[in-house]
Amino acid sequence: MDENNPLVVFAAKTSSVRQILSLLKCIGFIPKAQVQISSEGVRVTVEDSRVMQAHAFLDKNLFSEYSFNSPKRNPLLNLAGHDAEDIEVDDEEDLDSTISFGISLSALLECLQIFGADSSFRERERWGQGGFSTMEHGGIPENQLAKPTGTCDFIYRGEGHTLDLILEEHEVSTSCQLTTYEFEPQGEIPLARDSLAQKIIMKADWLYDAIQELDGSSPDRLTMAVSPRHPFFSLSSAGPMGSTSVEFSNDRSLLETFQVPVAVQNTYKFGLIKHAARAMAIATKVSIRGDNLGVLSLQFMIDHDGKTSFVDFRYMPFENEDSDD
Amino acid sequence: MSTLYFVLTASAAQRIHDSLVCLSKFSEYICFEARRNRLTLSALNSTKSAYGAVTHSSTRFFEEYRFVAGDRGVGVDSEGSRFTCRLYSKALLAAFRHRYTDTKNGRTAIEKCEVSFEDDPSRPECRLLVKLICRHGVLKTYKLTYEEVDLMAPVFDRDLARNRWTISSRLMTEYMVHFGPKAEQFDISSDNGRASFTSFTEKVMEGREILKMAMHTNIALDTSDFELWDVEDKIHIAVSLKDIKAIVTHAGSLNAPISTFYSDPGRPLQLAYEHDGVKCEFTLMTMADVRASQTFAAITRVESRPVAERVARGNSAFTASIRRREPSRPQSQSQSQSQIQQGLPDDEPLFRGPTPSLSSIPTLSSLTSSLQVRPNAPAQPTQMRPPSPPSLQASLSQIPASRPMTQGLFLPLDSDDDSDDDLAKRLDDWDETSLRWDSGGNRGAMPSISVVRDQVAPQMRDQSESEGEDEVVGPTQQVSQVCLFFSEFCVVGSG
Repeated sequence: MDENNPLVVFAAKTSSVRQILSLLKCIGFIPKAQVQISSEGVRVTVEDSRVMQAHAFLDKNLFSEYSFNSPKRNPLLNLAGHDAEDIEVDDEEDLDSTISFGISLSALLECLQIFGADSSFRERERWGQGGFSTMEHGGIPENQLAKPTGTCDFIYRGEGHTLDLILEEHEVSTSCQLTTYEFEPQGEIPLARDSLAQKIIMKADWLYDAIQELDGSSPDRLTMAVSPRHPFFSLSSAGPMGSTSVEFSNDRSLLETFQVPVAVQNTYKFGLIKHAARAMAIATKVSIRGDNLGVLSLQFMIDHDGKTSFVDFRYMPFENEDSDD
Repeated sequence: MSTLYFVLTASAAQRIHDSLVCLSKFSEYICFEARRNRLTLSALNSTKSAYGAVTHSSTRFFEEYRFVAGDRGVGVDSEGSRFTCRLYSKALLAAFRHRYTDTKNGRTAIEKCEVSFEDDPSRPECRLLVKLICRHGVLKTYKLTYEEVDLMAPVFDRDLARNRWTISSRLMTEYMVHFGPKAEQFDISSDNGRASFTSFTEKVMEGREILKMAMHTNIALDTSDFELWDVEDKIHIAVSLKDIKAIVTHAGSLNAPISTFYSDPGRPLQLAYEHDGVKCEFTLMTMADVRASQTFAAITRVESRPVAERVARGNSAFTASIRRREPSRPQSQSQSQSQIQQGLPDDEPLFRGPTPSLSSIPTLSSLTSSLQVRPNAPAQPTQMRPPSPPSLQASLSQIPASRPMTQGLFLPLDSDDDSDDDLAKRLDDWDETSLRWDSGGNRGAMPSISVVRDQVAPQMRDQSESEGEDEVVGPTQQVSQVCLFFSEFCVVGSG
C-alpha cells in the first residue's frame, strides 16, 4: 500500500469484492459510468437515453480501509503526508467535497470478475477431486460464488491518473489500471420528495416477478397505475399479441407501505425498467416512489452479510395527456 | 356465442406449460380445440410434415371445465359441437411460463389459474383471458388475441402399423442424450433383434457438395429394455431428430411410456403416450427411404439402392400388411453399383450378410444389395382419433415425383386465404425446413411420394359424409393440389 504517497487521493481496501461486484453489476447495462468519491463512499452513476439514471452507492462500510483525501480542500495535508486513515476519521468526515471522473464500467466489472471467475474455477476443480467428474458440474452453484474471496485495493491518484485495482488472492496478485475520463456532469433526474404521489415499499422479488411476467410478451411500454381503491397497484403492458397485467392488492404482507392519496397512472419505457431487473432479483426490498410529475424512483435495498447497500433508479415518464398535472 | 371456461391447479398449469414448450417446437401457432369432454392443444408444422396434439380430459385434468357451444364458427360433427382457434405460441408461453415451482422467498406462488374464452360477436376482438390467482392477493391477467381457424389433423390408423415399440420415457431420455444438437435426422431400425437408433445429417455446405456434419451417432440397444418391441428387421424409419427430442422431453415430463407405431418408410409414424388425463399423439412423416439418401448410405456403408419408381393404384385393397421383396430394376442396380465404386470400392465385399456386432457401423451394414425390402402398401385407410367415424378415414395414394422433397402429412383441402399464406410460407421455407429428404444428389431414381389426405378438415366433413364420395373426389383433388405446389417437377400418375 502506498497510502502515504502524497499523490494518493483515494485509497481503499476491501475483502467484499463479491458485494461490490454484484452492486456494480446492477447498473452494468451501460458501458460508461461516472464515479463520484466522497468521504462517505463511492457513487457510480450511469444513464440511458437521458430519461433514466441509475446510481450504485458503495458505502465506505463495504471497505475494510477507506481513505479519501480531497485535493481541493486539503492541499496541505497531501504535502504533509499524514496517514490517510487518520485524515478521513478526524478531519474529513464533515466536508462535502467529492472527486469525480468517468470510467469504463464494463472494464471495471471485467477486472473485478477476473477475480471471481478465477476463484470459482478453483472451486470447481476441488469438486472434481472429490470423485466427481468436472464435466458434470457445468453450472457453478450459487453458494460457491458467494464465498468470500481475497482482497482488492482501489487507488486513485487524482485527475489524469488511472484507477488502479490490485487484486490479491492466495499469494497471487493481479493489478489493473483503468483509464479514467473527464467527468461529464449529468443533471440528476429530480424527484420532488415533498410532493410524492405514491410511495410503496414491497419485496423486490415480487416486483421482479411482475416484470418477468410482463416481459414474456416483450412489450414496449409499462403502465404503472396506483389507486387508493382496488386495484391498488397494477403494472400492465399491451402488445400486438394481447395485454398483460399484474395487480397487487393492498395486503400488509404484500405491500409493506402503501401511501397513495389519489389515483395516478404513468407510462414508462419497458426496456429501461428492465435495466433494473438485476437489482430486483438480488434486492430484498424496493421502495417505489413517484412524484406528481410522474418521475419514478426505484430504490433497492441489497443486503450482503448484514451490510446494506442501495441502488437507485430514476425514470422519466412518457408524456401523457391524460395525466393530472 | 360459445364460451369455454376452465380452472387449473398450479401443477396442471405447469403441465400446460410443458405441453406448450413441446408443441411450440413444431409451430409458431398453437391450436385449441374445445369439446364437451376434452380440450386439445395441437400444432402442425409449416411444412405439414409433423403434427402434435395433447388432449386433456375435462374431468381428470381440470378442476372445473365448462364448455357451452354457440352457433357461430363452430363445427358440428358426430361428437357434438366444438370450438377451434389458434394463438401465438409465444403469447401462450408468456402466460403459461415456467414459474409454478419457483417459490423462493415466498414469491407469489400460483394458487389457481382460470382460463376463459369468450367468442362474443358483439365485441370486436377475440380474447383468451388467463387469470392467475396468486398468494397474497396478487392477480396476473393475460388477455391474448386469438384467431378462429379450422383445424387440420392427420389421421393415423394404428391397426395398419406393423411395427410398434414401447419404452419408458426415462430410458428414452437417457438415450437421446447421445444425439448432438446439430444432427438433423433420426433413424430407427431393428437389426438382428437389436434396436438401433442413428442420428445423421443431410445438410450440405452452401455451394459445395460437402457434408456440414459428416457424423453419425448410432446406439444399438437390447430390446429387453423396451416394454414392447415388435419391429421387422431392416426397416429404416427416419424422422427429424429435433421433433423426436421435443417429444421425448415432453413424455419425460409426464413420465409416461412412449409407444411408437409405424409401417414403412415414407409413411407417417406416430408416437403416443398418456398420463393422468393427458393424452399425447404426435404424427410425423418419415423420410421416404433412408437408404436412398446417399449421405446416409455412404457413411454407414450400407449399399444404397434407389427405390424404383412406381405408380400406386389409388385405393386398392388393403395390402398394407403384405410385404414384397422385389428384385430391383437393372438401371437402379447399376446406379447403386456406381455409387459404391465412387464411395467405398474396397469395402463392398465386407458388407455382405448380417454382422452381429454391437458397434455402430456394422449394425447397419447388414443391409445388403441382394436384399431389397420394398414393401408395397399403396393404400391405407388410416384413422387417428378413435371416435372418428369410418367415413373420415384418409386415403393414401402415391404420386411419382421427379425429385425428393419435403412432403406433408396431407395436403390442405381448404381453398381459403390461409392456403395461399401456407403456400407462400412453404415456398419460403423451402430451404429451411427441418425435414430434408435427399440433398445428396440422388436425382435419378426417386422414392415415390405418398400423401395422406386430411379428411378431418371441417369443410370436408360438412360437405361429404360418405366414404364413397371421398374416394372419388380425393385423388383428383390431391393430384391437382400437388401439381399446384410442385408444378415444375410433378408427373401426374396416380389414380
